[in-house]
Parts: sequence; C-alpha cells; structure tokens
Amino acid sequence: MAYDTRNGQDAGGGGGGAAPAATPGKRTLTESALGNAGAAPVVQRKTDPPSVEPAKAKADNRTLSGVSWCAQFPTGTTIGELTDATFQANVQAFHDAMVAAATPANALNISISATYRPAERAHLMHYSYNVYNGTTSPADANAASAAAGISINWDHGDAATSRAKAGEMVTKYGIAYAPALVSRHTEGKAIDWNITWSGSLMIAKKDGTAKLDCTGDGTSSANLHAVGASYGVHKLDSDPPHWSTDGH
Amino acid sequence: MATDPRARILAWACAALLVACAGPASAPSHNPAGAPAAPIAIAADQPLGWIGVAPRVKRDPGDWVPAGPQAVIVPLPAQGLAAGAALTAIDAAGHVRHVTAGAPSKLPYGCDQNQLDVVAFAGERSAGVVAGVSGATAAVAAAPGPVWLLPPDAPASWRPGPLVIGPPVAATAASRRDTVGPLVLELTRTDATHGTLAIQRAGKTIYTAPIVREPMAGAPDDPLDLRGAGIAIPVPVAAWSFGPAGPILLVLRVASYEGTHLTPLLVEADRARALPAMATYLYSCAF
Repeated sequence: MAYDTRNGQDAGGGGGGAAPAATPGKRTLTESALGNAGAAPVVQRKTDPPSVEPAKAKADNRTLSGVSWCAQFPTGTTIGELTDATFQANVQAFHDAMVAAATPANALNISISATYRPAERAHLMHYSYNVYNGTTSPADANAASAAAGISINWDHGDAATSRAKAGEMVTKYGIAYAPALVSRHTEGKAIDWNITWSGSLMIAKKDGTAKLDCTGDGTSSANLHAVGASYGVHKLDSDPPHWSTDGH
Repeated sequence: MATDPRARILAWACAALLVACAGPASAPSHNPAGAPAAPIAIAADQPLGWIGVAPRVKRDPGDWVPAGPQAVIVPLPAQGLAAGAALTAIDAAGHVRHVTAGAPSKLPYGCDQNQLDVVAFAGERSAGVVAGVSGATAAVAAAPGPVWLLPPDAPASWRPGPLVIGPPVAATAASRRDTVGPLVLELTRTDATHGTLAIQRAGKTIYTAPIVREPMAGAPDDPLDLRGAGIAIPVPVAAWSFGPAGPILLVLRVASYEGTHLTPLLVEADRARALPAMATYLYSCAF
C-alpha cells in the first residue's frame, strides 16, 4: 500500500474524514448559536493558547491512483447481485421462463457479462478516464473522490505521472469509451447478457396470456424482446446484450 | 487464370497498382482489350464470407481493436464458420493471408474481465504479403483492424483489392463527408440525436440510412458531433472492391454505448444494401 505524505492540502483532500485542525481564536458553534440567547448563556470562548505549537500536518491516508484500485468494487455478474429488488425478481422470472421453454435440443445458453456496477467502481472508471484524457485535473478528481468518500489520491506530484497512473487504470479496466458516473448498471437496474438458442422457443409472457414464438437470438428476436418487456425487462436496441428497467 | 485465392488477389492488386502508376490510359492486365470492365454480379443470397478483426499485439488504451496472439478473430455467432476452415483473409491495407479457423474460444476484451466468444484463426499473424508495384511481394506488418475473410468457394472472377479511405473533409459538428474510393459518404445531423448517412457514387445518392443515437441513462446528452466517431456515428474503416469495376464491400464502424458494431454494406453501381449476416459486434463494457 502506497501513501502520499506529501500532500493533504489539496482541495477536498480531507484525508478520509479526519477532523480539521483547530484554528486559534476561532469561535465555536456553541458561542455563535447561543451568544444572544438571553441570560446566563452557556458560552465557551476559545482563547489563544499561551504558546502556539505548529499545527501538525494531517495524516494523508489516501492511496495513490494505480492499478491496485481496479480489483476493488467488482461489477456483479449474477442476477442475485442486482440491487434493485423489483428488477432482480423480474429478471429472474424472465430467465426462468426462457429456461422453462427450452429443451436440450434448443441448446439455450444464457451468459451474463454484467449486472450491478458499484458506484465506487463507476467513479474510479470515470475519473481515471478523465484524468488520463486531461478533461479533469488530478486536483479536481481528488475533490470529487473525497466528496464521494473514496480515499484515492490522483495527484502523484507531477502531471505526467498522474496521467500515466490514470492511464494504467484505464488499460486495466479495459475502458474504451467515457464511463458514466450513474447509469442503470450503477442503479442495479440493468443486465448485460447474451442469450442464444437453436430453433424455436415458445416463451410465456409474465401474465400468462400468451407464449411467443422466439427465434434468432437475444439481439434479434423481437418476440423475445416483447416477452422480456412483459416482465419489465426492456431491450436497448443499439447494444445487443443490454436490458434494463426502461431500455436505457 | 490463377485458382488460388491469394494468387488471384495478388495478381489483381498488382494490376491495380500498375494501373494507378501508369495513368488513366492504361488498362488492367486482366482486361487487355481495354473495354470497360463489367461489375461482378452478386446474387442476393450469395455468401460473401465473414468480417473479422486482426488483433493488435498489445492493447491500445481507448482503441476498439482487441489485442491477442490470433491472426484473425470473428466474434460469434460467426454463422457457417467451421473449425478447420482454411480461408483467405485480406485486411484494410490489402495484406493477404491464409488463415485456419480454430474452435470457438475466449478472448479477453473490454472491462470487468469480459471475454469475447470468438472463432480464432491461426496463420500468418505479424506479417503478410502485399503486392509491390513491380509485382514482387514483400513481408509487411499486418494491419490491425477489420479483415475480410473470403468464402472458401469464392468465385474465380473475384479480384478483391482495398480501396483508399480518405480523411474526412468538410467536417463540422452537423455534417461530414468521407471518401472511400469512388464513394462519397455524406453524414448530416437532423436533430440532436438523429442524422442521415447518404452514400453517393458519381454524384448520385444510391443509399441512405438513418443515424439514431438512442437515449442511455447517464450518457451525455450533447448533440451528435459528426467530427468524431461518437456513439451512433458511422465511420468507414475498410473497403474492398470485388474487381476493377466493383461492387464494393464497405465496412462501417459504429460505436455504441457498450461496444462496437462493424456494419458491412454491399455497394453496387446504383444501389447498396446492408449485409446483416456479416455484421459483427464486439461487446466491451457495461455502461
């Protein structure tokens, strides 16, 4: 684990919630709030100490950016990891309907690539991409990470190293396009899965009113998309594996 | 007439290069009478092969081309591709290789330990052969990116050769023009999330297709910017002519939120059509 003891003055570099150092002569909230409250206020006034010791530098326990972060906060790859309970139940029911409709001859294959992405992972992917591409400075990324409660330090002391370390994370994550901070995946409301089979599947809609004849695959079968919608699992046309609560 | 597909391709490429260097008065060597070459006819249901990808040796951050030791990969379903199939591959620069299909396998690609299901081809990976002006061949580095895998029963009349893709011209956020050999691709934005692709040949529009950027939660809602290769914007990445007079196999790359589409079109003299059976998609990362 690497620590940067150099900084601690960065905007937002709060060191993971460490208490701010007392400022000599500064009034407390108690005095400010109660100073005009009437008789016998309970006011405590801080006074300057007789001899001022130098304020100790805050300990900076943040971990520098780099590939060690990439293994943390993994994206889910099971239906059970979907954090939206309703969507999880809907996806499971849709999944079970497909399985129930299949025979061995159909060779149904359902392969899940991604379900829930933790917000922390989305944050790290987003800012590694931005710092690497120069659209966010390390200082601004530090501020954002501190606000998000993630104890990472994007500033390695020089721009080139900071960018390089962010780039290592981009490569490790396998990022090709700017990652979103918030998406249906971070809300636990999306699943990326490949669905393939042979022949025809008669899959029941959720309300049991009909079974639709599904041919092709999860990308191309309009009837499968209709069945999924009946379960509240909606297909996004532009991205073959992506289904969500609203198709977005 | 040579029957080996690679020999035929090389012969055509040599002829094309000689013609290009000799000037417009020269004729391709396989058309000695000087008569205009007739376009090669392609039936509606004729197999045209597969679009694959030649991987990079090493991953390039931010680039869509996968990295791996394979000569070529074709993402599944890769219909009709059988293990052991020996095919001729031609990349966007015209490098020609013999490759052999293996069994379906996994290729690490994208985020979250994602793996693409692919048919991986073995063969000449880091070097191919390209025709020189003199007709000699020389080893060259293979070009990572789209590859056309010819069907095993490709007609002898095919003389596949690459077409030059020019840099975009007249590119603004709202319009853009690309040139691909004799084709002009005009992109026009019609509203923030829609536009039109028009393919022109000899000044005549022969194909149009809508550009639609679907909404995605969390994605920027900036208007389409046609200067770049953003979501839903088609960009030409490879094109080959079946022979001196065409037709043309054009491959467009279209980025989506979670991956990359390679969309092939067959462009004939006065029309074009999509080839969904050859289209492929590389899933990269949950958005």
